[in-house]
Amino acid sequence: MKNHIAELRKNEGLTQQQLADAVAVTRQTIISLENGRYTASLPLAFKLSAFFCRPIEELFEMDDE
Amino acid sequence: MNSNMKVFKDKILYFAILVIAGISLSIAGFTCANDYVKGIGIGLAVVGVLKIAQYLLISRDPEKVKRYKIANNDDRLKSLTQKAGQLTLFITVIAGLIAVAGFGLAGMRTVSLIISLVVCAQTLVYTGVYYVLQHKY
Repeated sequence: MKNHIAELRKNEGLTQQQLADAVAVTRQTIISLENGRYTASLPLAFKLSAFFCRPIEELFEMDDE
Repeated sequence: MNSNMKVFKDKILYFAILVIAGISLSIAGFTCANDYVKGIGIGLAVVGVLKIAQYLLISRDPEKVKRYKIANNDDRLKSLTQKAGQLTLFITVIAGLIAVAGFGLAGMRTVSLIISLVVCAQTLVYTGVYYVLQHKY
């Protein structure tokens, strides 16, 4: 699954640590999310969506398989 | 107990029980002149005391408490813990089966039997837990 977390974070002028603190996860989780090595759980996806004020579909997209 | 320490209440209780168990074992070891039991008891007690001290130290710093809470509830770390558990079960069952075969071929049948019983117990526990979880969720 692809995501646009890094892009949205940079647009907001936030560091990875600031985003991690905002959604109550570790910085390593944000790094892994942005690198595509980890797929967010549903609760985390909703937290990110609420934080960026964007629908989940704008943050995450399924890979074409 | 201040609010920061309440975060660690369960952990402190768990390790306090470990300390008591460790002290009891070491007393039993001293009484029965069994160095093995004595050593395990002392080890458990020392680990318990060190962990309690660690949690008490962390609880004094609100920033460290916040980091601890985040790390304990972190999405990715919870997922990693589950995956690590699954892999560990798989690896220990395979290693156990290899050990059963190895010890059996080496003529150490008692050891082979004990390990095979442990592997069977692991598999039964996994099956039971899976069954319960399947019905719960």
